[in-house]
Amino acid sequence: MSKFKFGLRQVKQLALLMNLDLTSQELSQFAKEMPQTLSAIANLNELDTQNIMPTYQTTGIVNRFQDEQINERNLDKKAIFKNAARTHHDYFQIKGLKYSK
Amino acid sequence: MKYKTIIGLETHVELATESKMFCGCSGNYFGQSPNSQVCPVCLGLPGALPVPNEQAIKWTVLIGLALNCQINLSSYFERKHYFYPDLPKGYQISQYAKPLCQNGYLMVNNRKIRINRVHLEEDTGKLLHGQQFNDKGSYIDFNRSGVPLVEIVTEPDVESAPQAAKYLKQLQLIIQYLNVSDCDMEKGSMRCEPNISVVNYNSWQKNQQLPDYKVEVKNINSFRFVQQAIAFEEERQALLLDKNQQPKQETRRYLESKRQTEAMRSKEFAQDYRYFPEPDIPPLELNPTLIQKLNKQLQTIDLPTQRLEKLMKDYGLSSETALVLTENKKLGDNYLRLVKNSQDLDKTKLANLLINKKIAADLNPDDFFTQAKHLLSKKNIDQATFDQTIEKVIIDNPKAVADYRQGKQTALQFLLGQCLRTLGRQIEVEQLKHLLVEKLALKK
Amino acid sequence: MTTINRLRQSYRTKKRHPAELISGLFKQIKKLNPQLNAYLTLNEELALKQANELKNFDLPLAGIPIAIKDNFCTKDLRTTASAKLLDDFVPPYDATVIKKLKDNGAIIIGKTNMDAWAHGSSTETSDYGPTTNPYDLNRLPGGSSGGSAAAVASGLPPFALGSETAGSIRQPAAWCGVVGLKPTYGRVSRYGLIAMGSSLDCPGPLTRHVEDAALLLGLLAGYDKYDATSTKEPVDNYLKALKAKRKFTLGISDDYFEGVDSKIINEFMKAKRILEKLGHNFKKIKLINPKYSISLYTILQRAEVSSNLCRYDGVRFGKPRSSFSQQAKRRMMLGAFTLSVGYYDAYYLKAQKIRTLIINNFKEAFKQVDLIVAPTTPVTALKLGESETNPMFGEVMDQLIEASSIAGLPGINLPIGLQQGLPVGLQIFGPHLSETEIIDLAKQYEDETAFYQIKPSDFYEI
Repeated sequence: MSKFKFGLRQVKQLALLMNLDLTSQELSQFAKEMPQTLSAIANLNELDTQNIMPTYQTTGIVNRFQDEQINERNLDKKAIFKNAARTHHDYFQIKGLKYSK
Repeated sequence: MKYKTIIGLETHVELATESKMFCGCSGNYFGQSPNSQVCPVCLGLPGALPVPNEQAIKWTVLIGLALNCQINLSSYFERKHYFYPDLPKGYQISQYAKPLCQNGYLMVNNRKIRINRVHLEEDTGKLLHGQQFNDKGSYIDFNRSGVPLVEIVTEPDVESAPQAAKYLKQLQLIIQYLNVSDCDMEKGSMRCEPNISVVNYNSWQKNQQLPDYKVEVKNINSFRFVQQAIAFEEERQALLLDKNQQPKQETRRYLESKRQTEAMRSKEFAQDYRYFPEPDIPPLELNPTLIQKLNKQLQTIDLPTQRLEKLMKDYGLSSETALVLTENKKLGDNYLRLVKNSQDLDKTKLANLLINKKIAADLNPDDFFTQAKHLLSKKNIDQATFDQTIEKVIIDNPKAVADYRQGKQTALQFLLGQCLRTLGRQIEVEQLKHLLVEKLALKK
Repeated sequence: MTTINRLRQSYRTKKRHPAELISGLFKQIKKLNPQLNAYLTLNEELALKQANELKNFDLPLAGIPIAIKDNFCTKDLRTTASAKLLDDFVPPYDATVIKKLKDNGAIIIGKTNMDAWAHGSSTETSDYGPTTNPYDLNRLPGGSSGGSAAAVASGLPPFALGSETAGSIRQPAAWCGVVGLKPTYGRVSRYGLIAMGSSLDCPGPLTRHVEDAALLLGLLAGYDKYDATSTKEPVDNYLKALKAKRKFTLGISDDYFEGVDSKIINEFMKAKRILEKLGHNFKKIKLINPKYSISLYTILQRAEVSSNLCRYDGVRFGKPRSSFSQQAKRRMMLGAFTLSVGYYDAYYLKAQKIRTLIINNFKEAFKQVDLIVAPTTPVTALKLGESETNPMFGEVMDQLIEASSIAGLPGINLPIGLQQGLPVGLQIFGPHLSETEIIDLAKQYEDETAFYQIKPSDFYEI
């Protein structure tokens, strides 16, 4: 029933969007798997949703705003950098910028 | 005219709110030591959640109202996904389908520049390249991450570089007068990216159809460079069209050293921001009474056109003088503050004193008037008297002159005082000081 | 019957001291964890110190040991979400729920194993190996809060914090035979919980007794200024609810028995008769077939996951993105697809519309009944290795729970018996903010059946 086909190009594109470096093996594996998942969930089309509004929030809350003191959660330098792979003076450091904006 | 230029302008303005857009960190990051104003939220740590800044939302609506926009009472934030090291969450919380403000306009030289949208989002951190550390690495400071950013996008109604600059100047002033941002391109609190398409004039006249290419230019940080970038693009695209080639839809970078735009490294893939409504932030349902209140507030604020009128009508200033004071808001603010009780002094002359920087603008009224009185009623002393007085003071005070030559500035003050004794205090001290220094240099 | 209040009583009367209790607990954990793999990180030094130095025995959780699922940020204590990418991540801040536990005197024993990034219903997809089921070490404990469920089932300790996106508290609670309570979405703050499905995630307690779950919920619930989705509705008195003994109309839906193992249905029917005996009446209701929830949940969860994992770029914390497991990559890819231009409407938007249908369906149902009961899972604990057969394994295991989670509704799992030596669970779920009714009914069932008497052979009495 699988009317979905995933070309390698499409999978590559998704991998780039997700900033994932996939091996060619992984790419072909996903190209095979994804259509299977998509057909498994295709039953959603059996439900009529014309004129139905989407629900993004189940709480019903609206207009929630900040309610804290300035710098209340400020972290000190030690805390900020404690998990960083590379730092230099007071900056996070990265080597070799791979992606452009 | 062979070609027509079609320009759309995208402007980002940093709001001067107390706290950042989605956390309580101070929003005032300029000049702070790197990574000193961050918390789990603006650092994008696992588990952190955004909570919106109410003041930023109100100020965005205020900007929208000042730009004649319709306000969307129902609005919400969305996630805009892309990867870049200065974007800690890998997505920017922004607006897409339901921006706060839409469909406004700004009149620029009697031309209506339509505003497509005014929406609210967060700023990224700052990525610096390693020149200051003498290496090739990249460095990130997240102080700016999360600062509220208002995005203002025009329709492609702008027709030329000067018109673009005029629009930007007007927009800048309005926002400065609303007191929501210092809107300064040099400080980075105002950024502009023009989108430029050059088309065949005749075909444009026929069907006004937008071409399927537009060139976005980034990395511009002054109004002058906006104009230069547009001018360069007009030429570049015209040359391509001359050869029957269609300009490519792309993003280019402006290089101020060369006054040119250059192609950025081409993206390997088509960008897809995968917008969806931000699940961590409940939607906004703005109360119509809030909009009424903000509109009322807008009436009480002097926008640039009102200030210009006030300066000309109530203060009798010429349109040129009034314009100078209007276009430099701080100067205008100080003028109005100081000249409220100008007593008998000429309002125009007082304006010129401030404009020509003869007196500092940040003085209290008493000191200001003292200095102003001196300067405005100065004696007319001829050059010869000046020369004579200075020569005599130099001859009579060898020790002080020697001290000055050794670098002692107090000696200069002393010599100046000696001159003033003779000439009387009602002269322009700066002019005298200038002459004195010149003479001392000659005599070396 | 070791409950929080009984323990506190023993401390106050000086019959026991937390230091002795906690050091005994650690000894036993270190003995059993090699085979159980419930814990990834132990907080022994600090816990013993806190136990020794405890002065204020009046705090509601003074000296009470608690296990924490490893997706809650604990300040200065390693937090991995069972993902190698976060192998050496030490949070500089506490999640709100952690702060509340600490402020109330609780002693954190350690961080428990889970499916990596909470992506699963088995704990087998942990980057640190699966946790085993205390009732059968060749079987899975369920997931993603498998480590917490296994700890509670073994009494190591009998109190734990877990989280649920759609089934991650209730399903492992069912497979391990413990009480698992998922509150209404927004009832408990998510600040500091490593996000999986932002519109679905809920922190919640796993315990052996309903009163402990009620007590913990009462301390964890409440508005948090750091979480814009946390409700401002006042927190109900859950302890009072334990004694309310109301009679309820309970809904039961035929669709929720489709594909369920007949042995589980048998146990469920026994439980149903007990509830009837207690004076509750049953009514048939029509709910949307769970098979749609599987599809819907697959889309929503993967979409939100693909977004929530974007912050892991190896710059400020964690290892590079190449450290993601296959399972995580798989979910991100599908999630990105459902949000991408040209497919958003057919997938993500469609899913959110069906979400509305489900919410409305429940609203209608709850006009006729007070609460809904059903089996918690279609099967009992599966064997190690069985979860890897199907990329949608988790969603299929959670099919009876997904709808209520998608609607943000609260629910509980109660252990109702053993089938071939493996625990079977019954779930009760209710409308928005109906925790008091759920707790009331659950307590009545517990008092009648004393289900906490069922224990695995290696059970440790603290």
